[in-house]
Amino acid sequence: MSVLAATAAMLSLYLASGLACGGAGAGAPCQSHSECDDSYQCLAQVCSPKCTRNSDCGDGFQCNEAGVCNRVFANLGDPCGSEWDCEIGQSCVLEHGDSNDDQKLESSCQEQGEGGRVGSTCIADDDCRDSLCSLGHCSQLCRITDDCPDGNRCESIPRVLGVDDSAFFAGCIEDTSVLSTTIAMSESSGTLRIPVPSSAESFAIVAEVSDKIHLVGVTRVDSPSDFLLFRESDSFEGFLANPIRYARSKEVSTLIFPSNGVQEIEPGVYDVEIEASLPPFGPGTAVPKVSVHYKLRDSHILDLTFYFLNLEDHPCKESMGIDNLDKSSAKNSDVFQDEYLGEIHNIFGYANIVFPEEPEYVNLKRERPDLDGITDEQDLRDLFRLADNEDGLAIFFVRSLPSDGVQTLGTTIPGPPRTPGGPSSGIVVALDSLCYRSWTTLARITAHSMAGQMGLWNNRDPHGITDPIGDSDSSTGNLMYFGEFGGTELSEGQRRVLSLYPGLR
Amino acid sequence: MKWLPRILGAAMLAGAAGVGIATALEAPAGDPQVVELLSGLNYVPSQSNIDVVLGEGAVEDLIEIAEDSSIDSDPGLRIRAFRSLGQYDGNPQRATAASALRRAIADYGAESSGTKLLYLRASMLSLAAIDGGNAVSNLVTMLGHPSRDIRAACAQALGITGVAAAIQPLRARDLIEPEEQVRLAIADALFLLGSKG
Repeated sequence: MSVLAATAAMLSLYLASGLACGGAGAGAPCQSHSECDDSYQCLAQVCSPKCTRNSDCGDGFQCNEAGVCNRVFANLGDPCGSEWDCEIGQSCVLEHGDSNDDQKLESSCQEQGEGGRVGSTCIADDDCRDSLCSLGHCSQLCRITDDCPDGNRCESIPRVLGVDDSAFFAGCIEDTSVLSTTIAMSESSGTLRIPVPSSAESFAIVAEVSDKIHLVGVTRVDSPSDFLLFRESDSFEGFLANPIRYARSKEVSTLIFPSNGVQEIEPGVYDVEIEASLPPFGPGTAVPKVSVHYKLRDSHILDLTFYFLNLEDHPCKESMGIDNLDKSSAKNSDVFQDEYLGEIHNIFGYANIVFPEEPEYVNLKRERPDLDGITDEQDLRDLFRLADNEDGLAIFFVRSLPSDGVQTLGTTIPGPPRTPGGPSSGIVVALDSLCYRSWTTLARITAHSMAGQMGLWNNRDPHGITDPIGDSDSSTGNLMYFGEFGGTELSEGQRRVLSLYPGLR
Repeated sequence: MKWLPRILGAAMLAGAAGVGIATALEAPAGDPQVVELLSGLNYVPSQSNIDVVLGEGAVEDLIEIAEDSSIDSDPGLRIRAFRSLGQYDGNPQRATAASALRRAIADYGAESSGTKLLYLRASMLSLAAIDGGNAVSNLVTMLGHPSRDIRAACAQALGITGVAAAIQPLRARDLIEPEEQVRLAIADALFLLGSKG
C-alpha cells in the first residue's frame, strides 16, 4: 500500500470515528510530528503509527531510527543497496557485471519496470517490476530481512554472469522450507548454471522428458569451486567412484546434493550438464524439462499419502486383521495405525523426521482395475502417475507385485521430490506380504522403500556393493539392508541424507 | 490419532540415543547365503546369482526349499524359491523343476486363501515360463479358481505360454468373468498371444 493510500484510509477512519477535534492519535490531521501522540508520526498530513521497518512506510520512503518515515530522494543512476534507497517509481537494480571483481554486484536506482512483484514466477529480469529474476522468482535487493515484503527474507544469492562467471548479491527470497523453480532447455542437451543460495541445505535437480524411451538426467556436475561432483561413466567402477551416486533413467531422474552424509553444500553457481539421449543410438530428440528444488531451512515434516487400489477379497485378509484395507479401514484400524504407521514413525524418528497427525488416504478402487495387481514395469510407472500429492511421499498399496516374493518397489533412487504424477512419484507395497509377515515387518519394508525414495542406497546390496555413506556399516541390522531379515538402524550419515530430502517441509 | 503421543515419545528417545533400535525379523535357520539369496525385498535373484550360491544342484536345492513345509520353513523363502524355478528354462534340470511346479499346482489348487495361494500363483507363473504349451492343461483349470488373484495370475501365465491352445480357454472365461481385474488380465494375455501369432 502506498503512503497516500494508507493515510487516506487512516483519515477516513479518523473522520468516521468522530475524533476529528483536538485528537493527536490515528487519523488526526497534522502538519508536524509534534502534533501527534508519541507513538504516532505525521505522515502525509495525517497522524499515523510510527514505523519499525521500511515496508511500513511504502515505496520511496525509509523508516528512520525515530520510527518516522522519510521520503527518499534519488536520481537515476545513484548507487543503492536496497529497494528502499530509491524514490517512488524507481527500483534498485543490479549492475550487469561485477565491475570491480569483488564477487559482489553493485546496484543503482533505475526506473521501475512493469513486471511481477517479489515472489512472482519469472524467467528473465524483465519479467519483474524490480528487474531482478532470481531462482525463478522475482526478487528485490535488500540489506536485512526487514527490507523484504512479509513472508520473505534477505539472503545472499549467487547470480549467473555469462558462461563461467558469477557474483553474489543480497536479495529477498520466499521464507519457505523448499523453493522450487523450473529451468527451460531448448535442446536435448546443454549446460545449466544453477545458482544455490547461502541458506540452501540441499538441492534436487529433476530432469524429465515426456516419452518413455529417452534416458534423461544429469551427466556432469561441477561445484562453484570447480570440484567435480559427478561425471557419468560407462563403467560400474566409475559409477561407484563418483562423489554423488546417481544414474540417469528413463523419463525422469533426480540428483540430490549433498548425498552421502559428509558432503557440505557450497553456495554459488553449479555447472550442471543435462542430457536426453537414446542409447545406444546416441543423442536424443526430446527436450528435458528441468526443475530445481532448494531445501532452504531445517524442516523435518514428511507428508504421507496412502493410495489404496482395490484390495477386496485379498488372499491374505484373514491374517491382516483388516477385512478390506482401504481409506476408511486404514484410518480406523488399530493395527494399521499402531503397528504399521506407528512403526514407520518410530523408524523415521531416528532421523528426527516426523509425520503430520493425519496422513492423507486416497481410494483408487474403481479408477484403475488393471493396476490392482502390478505385473510389469509399465504397470508400475502407470501406477506412480496416479500420485497427486504435492508434498512428501506417495505410498501405494496393491494386491501383488511382479514377481511373487517381491514386497515393495520404487523406480529410481532417489525419487523426484515435489513432482507428482510422474513415473517415479511414489513407492508401492504389496499386500501379499501380510499372508506371512506382520504389519510391523511390513512397516520396515515400507520404510526401506521410503528411504530409497529419499536418497538412501542399500547399505549392502545382493552383490556386496555398499552405499556411498562412510559411517553406515553393511550389517543386516540396518534399515537399508536389502533383505527381509533386516533391522531399522540408521547411521548418522544416513540420517543426515534423509534430513536433507527436499520433499520435507 | 491414538499412536501419535506414544510414537513421538519413542522417536525422541531414539533420537537422544543417536541410533535406531534393531528390530530385525529373525532369519530362518539354514545357510545364511541361501537365506540372503532368497529374501530380497524388491527382486527375485537371477539364475546366474542363484547358480553362484547353489552351484550345479541349484534346481534340486530350490525345490527342496520350495517344498519344505516343516514348521521351521519360511514362507518368504518358499515363494521366492517357487518363482526362481521359473528361470530354469533351457536348463537340463528344467523337467525336474516343471514336475515340482506341477505338484505345487496340484497341491495348492484347491486352497482359497492364505500363503498357499501365493505358492500356487508363483508356481503357475514359473511353470508357464519354463514349460510353455505343456503347461496349458495344468493352468486352465485355475481360470475357474475362487480367488480373482489366482484367476488373473492364471490368465497372465497362459499369456506367457505363448501357444494358441491358451486362447480358447481365455476367451471362454472372458465371457463369464465378473472381475474387471481378471478381464483385463485376460485381455492382456490374449493380446500377447495374438501378437505372437
